[in-house]
Amino acid sequence: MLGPNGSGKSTTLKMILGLLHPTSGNLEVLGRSPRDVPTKARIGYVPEESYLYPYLTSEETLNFYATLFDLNTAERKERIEQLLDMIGLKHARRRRVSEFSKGMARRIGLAQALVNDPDLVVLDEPTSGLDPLGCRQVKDLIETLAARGKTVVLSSHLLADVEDVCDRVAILYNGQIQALGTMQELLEVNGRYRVTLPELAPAALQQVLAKLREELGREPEVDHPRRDLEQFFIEVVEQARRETRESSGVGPSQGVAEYLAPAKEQLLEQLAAPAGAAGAVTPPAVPEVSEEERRRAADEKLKKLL
Amino acid sequence: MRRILAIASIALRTAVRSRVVVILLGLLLLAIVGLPATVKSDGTLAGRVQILLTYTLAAVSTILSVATVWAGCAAVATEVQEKQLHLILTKPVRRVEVWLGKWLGLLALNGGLLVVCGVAIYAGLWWHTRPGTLTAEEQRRLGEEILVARREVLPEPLDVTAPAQQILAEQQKRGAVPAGRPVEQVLAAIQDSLRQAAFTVPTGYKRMWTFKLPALPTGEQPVVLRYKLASSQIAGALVDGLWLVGPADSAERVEIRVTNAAQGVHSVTIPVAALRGSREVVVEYANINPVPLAVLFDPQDGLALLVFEGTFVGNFVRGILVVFLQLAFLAALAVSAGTLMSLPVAALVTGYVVLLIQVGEHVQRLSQERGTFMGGTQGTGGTMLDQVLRFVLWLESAVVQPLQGPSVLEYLAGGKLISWGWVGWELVIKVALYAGVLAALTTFFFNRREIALPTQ
Repeated sequence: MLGPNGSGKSTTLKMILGLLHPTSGNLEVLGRSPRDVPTKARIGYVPEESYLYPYLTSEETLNFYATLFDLNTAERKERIEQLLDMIGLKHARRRRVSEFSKGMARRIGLAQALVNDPDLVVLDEPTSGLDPLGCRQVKDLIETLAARGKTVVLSSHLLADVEDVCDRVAILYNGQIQALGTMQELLEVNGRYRVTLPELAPAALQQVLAKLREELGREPEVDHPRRDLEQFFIEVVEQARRETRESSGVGPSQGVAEYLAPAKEQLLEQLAAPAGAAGAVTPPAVPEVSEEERRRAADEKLKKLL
Repeated sequence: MRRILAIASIALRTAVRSRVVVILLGLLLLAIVGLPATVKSDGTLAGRVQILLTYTLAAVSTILSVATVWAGCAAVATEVQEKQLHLILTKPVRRVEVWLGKWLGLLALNGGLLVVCGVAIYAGLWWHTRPGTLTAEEQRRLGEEILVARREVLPEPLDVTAPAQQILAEQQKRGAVPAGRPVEQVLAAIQDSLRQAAFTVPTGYKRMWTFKLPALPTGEQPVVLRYKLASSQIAGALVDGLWLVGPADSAERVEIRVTNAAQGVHSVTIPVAALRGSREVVVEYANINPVPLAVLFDPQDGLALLVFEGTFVGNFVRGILVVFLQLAFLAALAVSAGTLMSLPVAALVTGYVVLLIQVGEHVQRLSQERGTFMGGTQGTGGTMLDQVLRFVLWLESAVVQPLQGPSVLEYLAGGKLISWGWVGWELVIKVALYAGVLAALTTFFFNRREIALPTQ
């Protein structure tokens, strides 16, 4: 959900969560009223601010929210371990939330929303306050959840983030949907093509350009593709992290929590998909997939597409 | 249950971290340690022990009440304001579970603090009366009068209906009943004066009362007759009287001659043998003053037999339990107010309700009187507004009356028995019934409350 401030994004999310009631109309979530308590066991919510108890440690915070889902002690312990690993705060498990930076608190906020392995994840400005590395991890996580068949609804001002991960977009203004559709439907520019080529010999490139000039009747636009800044930033930080052992901030993520990771079949499907706008930096912690399996799945996907 | 306990644990931790609660707990410590050292008694040992018990327990229950109101109101109201509750309510948590969790958290806080305070007060009491500091006589008196649990038995009520009817009939025959005054009012006044007369003894006269003990006293502990006396004589004069215990025709009737100050509370000890194995005890008072004067006993609690029932420790524990249950009701009230209102408003409303409970007795009297609020004719029911106001007062007193009760402090300091029945009453009425109704009503409205409105 996109929209300027006051367009109704957060209000809509809060209605989905049963915190606000519609003044008219009917709203169902997972086939039930949003105020139906058992349905809430299938929902995870990350609010726009981290509304956590400042005096609890990160471990106690996750334990508290896991208890609200009636998880038994062993299961709680296991999930908390995996989540702390995933958000890179395992070393800060005994630190109070009040001592955390905004980004670290956001990570705890995100982890609490996933403690129940939800079917529907509602994210209100999920990357707000996170550094680019954290943003990338959140986006990877969203893609992983989607690969497991989970529904992720998010509202954001950061259009690049939305473009990276969303299948469908609604643009709201004054409480009304102004545009709704898939990224392809909404963003495709008809009547224009973009061709990306590997590096060509100068003579071959001149031949291609001459041909295009002849076809178009004017000079074609040619430049070198650029890495995006996010990708570059992540590479620099990863390099620095390899060289520095200790940090009081967020540690390296050990990948998506095991219980949240997609099954092997889902992963193969995901890997076989055409390369997206940005490659995943942190591979999900999933069952081993051999290079041969990956190639075979990609071939099958390609056959289907052709 | 796991969810409720998790919320309770958070409520407890939040309350302990609240600055207001921390300040109040500091005062609590000061009250327990500082008060006994600074307050002066009347110089007697009994007075010192009574002051120690009354002041420290009063300070503890007052401070805990204020802390409970504040922490109870803040428990939900602050979480709505700071939005932690938004997150909790997106989890599979029923709103009644939130209410119960917050309430149980406060109960845990109050329970823990009461145990600590109770032990501290008892230790202080032991220190002030430790062996070696008192004479044997002082020890005995303390053990019989204050550090004991004695049941208070009041005289059997007099049936004044028939004599009052007779007097009324005579007055009507003589035309002595004022015109326009309702007959019920005249009859009630006659009954009052007959009851008063039954507790007034002029010189040369005797009055008799019957007490029915719930059970025969066991052991060697004596039965004590406590009486609150006043006389028509000027203050400071002495009053001579004779107490006669046992049936009038009995040869074993015990006679006890007393000379008392004209105002005050006195007691005489009746040996268990004088009861002659009977649960019905007849007591007479003879006014044997040489000069004419009337001796008056308070009809409400001017005469009572105090029968030994148990030790002070048991009584003290039951007293602490009663205070705990009263705080449990207060916590329910505060959590309910804080669930439906923002913090300053919730605390004010809770304070107002507590005040209504305190003045409930007066409200009850107002509702029973047939006067008017708007200047209509007395006794006729008044205007419509009078009737509405009277109904509101009646409703208020009906709701509030079960919440009122005797003072635990007065009972403990007076060595009066706090029975398990009293503890049970507090549990059933204040906790199960009233707190239960509050929980149900609050949940009903809380379920309909939009928790994430932009104004919250």
